[in-house]
Amino acid sequence: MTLAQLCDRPVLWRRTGKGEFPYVATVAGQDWLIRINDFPVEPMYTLLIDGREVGDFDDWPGGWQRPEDA
Amino acid sequence: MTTARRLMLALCAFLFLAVGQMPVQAGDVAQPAAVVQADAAAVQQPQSNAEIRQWYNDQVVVISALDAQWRAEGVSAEQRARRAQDIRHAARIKAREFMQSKQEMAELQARDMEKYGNPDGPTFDQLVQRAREGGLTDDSVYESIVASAGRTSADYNAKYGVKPQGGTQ
Repeated sequence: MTLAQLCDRPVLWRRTGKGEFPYVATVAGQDWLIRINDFPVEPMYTLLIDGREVGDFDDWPGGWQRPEDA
Repeated sequence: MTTARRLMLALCAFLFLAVGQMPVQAGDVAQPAAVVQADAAAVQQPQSNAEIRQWYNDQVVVISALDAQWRAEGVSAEQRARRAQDIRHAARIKAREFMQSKQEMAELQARDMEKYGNPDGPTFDQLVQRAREGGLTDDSVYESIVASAGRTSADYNAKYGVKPQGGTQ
């Protein structure tokens, strides 16, 4: 599955309380984690699934819901 | 568009954003408000984060050209590093001000606070310390800071199609 396809999935994120890794979610039994990078030098976000970097993106996907988006 | 023209346009945009809020000094030539507004509109502000990163790249790409000029003028390595870092830091701050989501800006500041103890990224002294911890000494410390200040994350840009202003890479 491509990053674009993953970004199209509805995901409900939880806060971790950490600055560099602020959001975590469980999707189909996998641990999804968001890393914030050195933006604007680097892309804003990196998605990690089960500890593996899947891809980077700049703009938060519309279907991904953060606690504050609720 | 030539490289020199792209550099000049990027530098003009940066200077406009950096000093645009300065008060008018005695002797300045006053411009009609309509002209000032038209000038401001000509420098479009980026909206999405991807556009903001593109804007940032266009600002820091001038550093290597400026560094060549500073070298020709005999500016020391430390002073060139400080100037380069000043430009990069100003562009970083301005880029984050462009962000539409203040929540995302706060998240970036929290990340930098966690990593550097500073919400706006590493200080010059921290960059020097990091370079020395990496084994660099003397002027090579400062040369590395100049080089990194003008770096636009080529790997990321190639991967995501971010291009210098007017570029075709």
